[in-house]
Amino acid sequence: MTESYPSFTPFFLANPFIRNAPTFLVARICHQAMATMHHRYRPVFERIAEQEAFALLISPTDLDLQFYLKIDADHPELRPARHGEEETIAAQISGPLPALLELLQGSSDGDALFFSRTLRIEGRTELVVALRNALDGESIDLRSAVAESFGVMGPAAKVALGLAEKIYRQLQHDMNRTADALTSPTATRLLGLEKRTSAQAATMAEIEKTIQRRNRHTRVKPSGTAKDDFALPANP
Amino acid sequence: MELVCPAGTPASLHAAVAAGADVVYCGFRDATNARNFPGLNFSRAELRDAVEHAHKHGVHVYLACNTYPQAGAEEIWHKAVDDAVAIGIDAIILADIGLLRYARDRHPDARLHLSVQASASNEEAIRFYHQEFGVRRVVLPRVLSLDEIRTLNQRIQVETEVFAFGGMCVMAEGRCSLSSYATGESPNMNGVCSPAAHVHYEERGDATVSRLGNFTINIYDSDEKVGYPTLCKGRFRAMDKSGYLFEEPTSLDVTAILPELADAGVSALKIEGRQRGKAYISQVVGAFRASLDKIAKGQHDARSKLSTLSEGQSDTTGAYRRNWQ
Amino acid sequence: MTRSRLVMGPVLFHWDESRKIDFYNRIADETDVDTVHVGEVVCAKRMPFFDKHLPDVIERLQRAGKEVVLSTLALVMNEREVNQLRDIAQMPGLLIEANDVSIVRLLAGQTHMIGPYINTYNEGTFSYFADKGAKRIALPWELPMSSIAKLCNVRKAVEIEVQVFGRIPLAISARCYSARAHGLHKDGCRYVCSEHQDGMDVETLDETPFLAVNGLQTLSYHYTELSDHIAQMQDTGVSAFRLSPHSLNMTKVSDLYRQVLAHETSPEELRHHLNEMHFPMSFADGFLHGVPGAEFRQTLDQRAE
Repeated sequence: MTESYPSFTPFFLANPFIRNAPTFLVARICHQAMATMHHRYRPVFERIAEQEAFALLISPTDLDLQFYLKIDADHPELRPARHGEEETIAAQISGPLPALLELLQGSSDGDALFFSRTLRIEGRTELVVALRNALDGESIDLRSAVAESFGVMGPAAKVALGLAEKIYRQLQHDMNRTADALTSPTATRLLGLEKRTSAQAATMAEIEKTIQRRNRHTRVKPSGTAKDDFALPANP
Repeated sequence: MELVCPAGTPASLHAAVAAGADVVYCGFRDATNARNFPGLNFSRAELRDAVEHAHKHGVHVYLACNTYPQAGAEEIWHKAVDDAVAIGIDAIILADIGLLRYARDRHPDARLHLSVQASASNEEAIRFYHQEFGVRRVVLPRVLSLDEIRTLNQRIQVETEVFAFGGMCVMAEGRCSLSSYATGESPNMNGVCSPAAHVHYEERGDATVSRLGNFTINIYDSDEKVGYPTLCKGRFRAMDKSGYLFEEPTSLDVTAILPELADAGVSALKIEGRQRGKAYISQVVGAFRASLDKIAKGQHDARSKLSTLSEGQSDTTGAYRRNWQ
Repeated sequence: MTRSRLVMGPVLFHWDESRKIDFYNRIADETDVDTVHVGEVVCAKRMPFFDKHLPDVIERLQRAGKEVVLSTLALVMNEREVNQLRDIAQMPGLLIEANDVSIVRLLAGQTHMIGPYINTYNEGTFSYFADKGAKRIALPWELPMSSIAKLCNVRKAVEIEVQVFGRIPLAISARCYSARAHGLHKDGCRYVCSEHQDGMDVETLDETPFLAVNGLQTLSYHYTELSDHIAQMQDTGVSAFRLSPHSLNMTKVSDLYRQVLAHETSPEELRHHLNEMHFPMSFADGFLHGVPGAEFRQTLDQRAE
């Protein structure tokens, strides 16, 4: 599936830690989080998995880590994704973690995130839509869910979480400023060039595939379609 | 003007009530409503709770039962009407003539509204539904201009409701088989348009290709905003040109012309989007509530703050301005 | 078995006057068609061009023994158009096809037919129109065979009609897409829709043929071709079969379908002859099978995945 460019969010800074964190620890946290979610929000799972159980690949673009999410009314599963698992995945959702978390809590509109291209969906779109709709139908309170995950440490975890959120917001603010500074004309051009070269390679590969796939389509328009020949002059 | 707001889930209904809706409309979780999307809509029990919650806050609830019953399976639609009446819904929104007759005969006291899916676009059509089935309000198709609406309201005895915000059909509603031509499923028969199960996105180099069934609906450059591949909002080729032949992926926003709509005799404003999340509902309903309250005080701010919620993130007043045609 | 009714539907395209007159004359003189539709269905702006010829055309068709049906507008949007409907409803001795419910009320009490632009999807709606005096009901294009069969069960004396040939009307709008493709608004359209005698072809960006634009109307690119199912429809109770006029030789086309209706030729033979007419056509019958309308399945047993 797609290779995305990392999103510049505070979570991006967590990458060195995540890369070095023992897999079992990440897996354990995921497992615990899912058990809590399933316990607290069982109707969500029932609503989505009404017809079938399925698996999604969640790709936070600001983390060096992808998650395997299995939606099943009775046995849902969340864990770090493994290599070679693509075959079993019905769809992939990519986007910066803050956007994914907002989506989870229904505090941001999924369609709006998608229209602005913050989130990308590949594969069976209807399953992602079903997930989104079901999540939106519950009032998911991530903060108390996380607190509950830590069991007896509940109140302490809440305080820690509140502190973490405060630091996160401060970081986000600083990073946005850094990002603004970075997007000087030179930087933009260099980044753009690099991006274009790799994109062109991908385009070539895609063109070859397309030509093989269908003989009648000799001309392919991979891009440059941005214009709209049918647009009429604006309102007088 | 009454503010009629969508709810695809109980959480959205609560959001709409909290944000200042006068009415919330919703549908049962089956093919009887025109937003028959996965994971969406209400069970009987959920609707009962929803009505109770809304009524407690002085808000009305309408049920959209606005697809065309399938031959041989009309009982499903009949049952939806019966259950809605039993639950104590404030109005039922219908499109099919057979179903309107059923509702009128079985529940003579029920308040019936004509769905936009019936595409009643002129006074004789409206008079027909009024006389034959006692319809008390008509949701006007999104093909009429402001002047046409004004004239219409002077000539008919029923209330009119118009679309104020959200996705916009460019074709006359209830008269469109584009979706089933590409996917086998249509708004009229299945309550879906360009259904997600037939949608695929492909990355083609830097571009994103959106496909519906076997047809490419759009190709987006990397710097473009991606839209859902609703068939009539796609880019196509004709006469050696390419682009948005039918409609740009814009959404309707009448904030700028609210006073004109009120002046044209419109009774209710409808917000589209039962498939959108509760975040959307809160923001849109809240913004329209504020605008309407201002107008009631004799003030009007024509600027809308809702553009990030729109498809393609751009807005139009659509067919209300005649030059749209 | 009673003879099936072969119907020539209304001309959907904005052909010039002489082409249209010539078309109707040939249908009157050279075909075994039982019923011929006249009248503008798509765009009120086109009406003035041909209205003046209508009385002569109708008279000539009737003299040739054809039943003439006056088809009405599918999308009626303003007072002027409503007034035209009121005038039409007053016309004596003509069978009127209602394509919008606005005229249904005006036609109450007189013999009329319900056109395919009106949503007759189920028994309840069908029976309503039957009770109100509809003599024939042309079914919407989207209906699968299973629904058609259900409606046939409740038809009583009402004739059921299905379109078996021609591009399928898929949508109608207040906006003119022919004008838009030419960079014009509807109000100043210069009647550019007349440039495309069978509709303007629309392709996807990948150059897959998809749709055809005819002014306010959007049609399928594919031509519906249901001859494989005609025998089954006849057995089920469909009694009228509509051909939608295109710029190819419709005399020949109607001869071919008459032969299929009479079981004198096979669907393969019919398609072989259609293909020999050197008119670019690809066929579809998906709606009848309940699958995407653009597909061509031929046999009814094949179902979608």
